[in-house]
Amino acid sequence: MQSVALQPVKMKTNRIKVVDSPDFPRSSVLQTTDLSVYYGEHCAVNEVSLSFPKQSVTALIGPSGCGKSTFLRSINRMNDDIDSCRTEGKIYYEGVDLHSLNVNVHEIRKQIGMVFQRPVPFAKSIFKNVAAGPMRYGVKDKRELLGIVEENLKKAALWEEVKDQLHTSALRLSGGQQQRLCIARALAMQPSVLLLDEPASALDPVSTAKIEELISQLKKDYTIVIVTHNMQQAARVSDEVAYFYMGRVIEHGPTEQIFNHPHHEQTAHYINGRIG
Amino acid sequence: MMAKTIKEIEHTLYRKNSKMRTERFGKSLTFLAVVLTAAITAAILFLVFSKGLSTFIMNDGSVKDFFTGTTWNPAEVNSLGKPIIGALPFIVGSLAITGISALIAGPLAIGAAIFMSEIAPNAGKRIMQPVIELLVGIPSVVYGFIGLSVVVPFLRDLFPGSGFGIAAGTIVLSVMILPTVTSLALDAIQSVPRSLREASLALGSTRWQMICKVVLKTAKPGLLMAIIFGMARAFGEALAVQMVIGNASVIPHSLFEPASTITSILTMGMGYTVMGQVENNALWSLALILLLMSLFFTIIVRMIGKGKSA
Repeated sequence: MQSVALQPVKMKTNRIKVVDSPDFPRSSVLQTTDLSVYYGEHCAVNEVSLSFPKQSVTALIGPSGCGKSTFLRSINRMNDDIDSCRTEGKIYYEGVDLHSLNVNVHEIRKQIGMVFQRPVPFAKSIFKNVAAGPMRYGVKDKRELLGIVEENLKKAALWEEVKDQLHTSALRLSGGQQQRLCIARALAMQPSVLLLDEPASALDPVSTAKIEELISQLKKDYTIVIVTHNMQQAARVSDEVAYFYMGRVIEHGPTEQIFNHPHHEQTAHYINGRIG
Repeated sequence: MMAKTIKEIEHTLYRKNSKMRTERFGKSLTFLAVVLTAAITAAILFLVFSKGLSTFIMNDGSVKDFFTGTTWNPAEVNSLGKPIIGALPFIVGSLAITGISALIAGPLAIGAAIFMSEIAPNAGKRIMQPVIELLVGIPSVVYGFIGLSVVVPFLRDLFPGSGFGIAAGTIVLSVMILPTVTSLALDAIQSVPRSLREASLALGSTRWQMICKVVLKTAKPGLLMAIIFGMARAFGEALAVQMVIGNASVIPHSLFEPASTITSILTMGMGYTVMGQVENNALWSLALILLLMSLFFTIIVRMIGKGKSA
């Protein structure tokens, strides 16, 4: 929530009311309890209970098809739009159950931003890509929008590269730049949580390094959950790691411990490249 | 195993087999197809151009008269001794009917396409798609016949006049091009990648915001192409239009007065002229205009396609 204090921008947001719940640890912003996700009969995520501390980076690792992306997508309810998908269990955001009936799904997605594996800029100018979200939520003043665009492009470490071409098409940018643009676009919504779904897997090493540096920067203001296939990346950027296998969380703990002294043999095998 | 001598290796590498013959056969067969297609197209172009231009070269017709004159009577000559070939009424008729039907069919088609792909994809796929495919397959004479027996009497009752005219032609043509434009628009909308839609939803957009700001915006070149394809079809349609437009070679003052289009004059006139005469050549000139217009539509579609990939 620190980001809100930093930005004196008037945006029509109805922040979800923070409710004190006894079993909700004050230090975490996001928590799942026995979350299961089914695609038809297939159980993709099986009773996962995780909590994500504020202003930290949690990496979700595990072999392909282990359910980590599905888990990530269910946090901001992106799976709602898939017909065959069914979710059980609870997701608490600031103590509020995100599946309760009167929660506005669009509001959830504003506060829990998401960046996808492939950069998906809209076929618009760089400026409009970042300004699109705020404009849709009622920011009209040109100068205010320019401020939002500049601030978030700076946060995404892209401003210096694009400040002279804000009105050219975003499709002209390189893959790495496009991905940072997508991060800026997500940040412009003033989220408090960022979900990153393999944000660097389609990028070259230099762009990957930039994204990783960016993640370490953003940690100060946001709670970040990142899905990654890259062990070194998980080790470099994360504070906590959760190892997924066959829809279950096998092990969850501080990065240092998971990488150096995993409790489960299976985790050790995966980290050392023997599974997946 | 004994090492092969160079001679042996050379022998295996140089020998010809039956595969090579098949290869050559396939190559020449496809090449022949290409040559044939190109030759036929070139022949048609040559014929239309030579015939169409001979009105102005051989028969001393005036190009200015052709595009600005309002009287069409190629058999007679005017005071300057030139054939009376004012094609403006037909050109205006064709453009009006094409433009208005695109204006009617375009939004309807895009709306239907949005419904089919975004709002109710299941019903769209199961009910709408077959219906649209069926509509595409209905011959134009059937559309014309329906226009003649339903639309024309309807307009006659509602508005002054006989019911024949641009309005009747436009209604028939809009219905006719609607399925084509819809299915092309549907393709364009469906080709917007899922990732873009998700990116928009992940920003907290509602479904409708996503459709307006991202899906339609991304599909814009494809949607334009769909409408232009529809226009090309409307511009070239002869039979259905001829049945309901009234076929008067004047520039109409209202949408409910009889008018005519380039195509309707062509189909009406071609049975009554003799090859080589001025009347016949004048019709070829109209055909040339049609050809150039369709070329124009093709070029626009190509340009949009290029812009899309760039």
